[in-house]
Amino acid sequence: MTDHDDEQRLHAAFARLREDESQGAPTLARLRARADERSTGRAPRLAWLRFALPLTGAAAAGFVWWIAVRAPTHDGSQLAAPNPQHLELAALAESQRVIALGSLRSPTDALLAPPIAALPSGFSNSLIPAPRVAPAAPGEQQSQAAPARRYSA
Amino acid sequence: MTRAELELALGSVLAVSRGWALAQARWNAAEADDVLQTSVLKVLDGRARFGGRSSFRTFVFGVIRQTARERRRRDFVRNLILLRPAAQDEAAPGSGAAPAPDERLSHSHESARLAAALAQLPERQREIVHLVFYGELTIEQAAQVAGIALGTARTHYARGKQKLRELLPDLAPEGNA
Repeated sequence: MTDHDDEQRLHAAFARLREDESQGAPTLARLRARADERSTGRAPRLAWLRFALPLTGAAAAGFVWWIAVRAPTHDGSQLAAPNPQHLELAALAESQRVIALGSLRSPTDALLAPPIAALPSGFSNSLIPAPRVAPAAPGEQQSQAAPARRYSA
Repeated sequence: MTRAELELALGSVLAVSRGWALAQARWNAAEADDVLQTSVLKVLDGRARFGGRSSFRTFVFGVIRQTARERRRRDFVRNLILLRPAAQDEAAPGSGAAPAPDERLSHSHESARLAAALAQLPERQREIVHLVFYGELTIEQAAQVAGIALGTARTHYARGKQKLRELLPDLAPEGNA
């Protein structure tokens, strides 16, 4: 059997296959109707996505905004609005540091430093060291420095 | 092409396109009809545009092939996610197990044997042989549809024919079916 004969037989066999399969071939109209049936069947199943997706997106955006802006930190303050008490305390600590450094150079500076009137409510200065006074030399009269005062609200 | 011209052209190649869809779906009629329907809608909606660089039949066959591949890929991922076993008709390469053509197809005995033999060919050989003998394309057009070089298509064509000859040694000559 030559290659040409082979091809002829294959062509004939495929022609029969084509003929058999063409019997159940759909028409264009049938395909369209089938697509319409599918789409009407699919629409109600996916309809909830139309509402769920925007809602999920809005909830995610809101959560991100809350985390970034409004979420309280571990001490209850908020990142966007610094606690004014913290600022006041920071300023107070800075002034105490200046006083303490000055007192090392001259004990009288500590005496001349204005007394701290009061701490904001809820804070104690027990951790802030009182100004140190240099010990008096032997024979020298003890200065009249007032004992370290501690302030508390 | 206008829509009316598209519909007319589609109607003229619909029967042979269904055969190509069946070959792509390994003769699973339901899957083939899904693929054909999606492909036709792609052409009519303009999602697949005929540029006139090839014959209309070649273009439609290319769309069907692409659609079938997309569908297989989607099914594979879906099965993977749902941890479902692969479909029964996905015989392992080299296993020799060929899926039987769908019983809903009204194949004669000879046609059923040919379809079963075709299903046993490697994918490329099956595609080229089917496109040339069933789709009546030239090897060059078949290479375009399959997206391979002409020389490669010729090789697949020769090997596919040889394999079919081995699988169907008693192929009846024309008129003796």
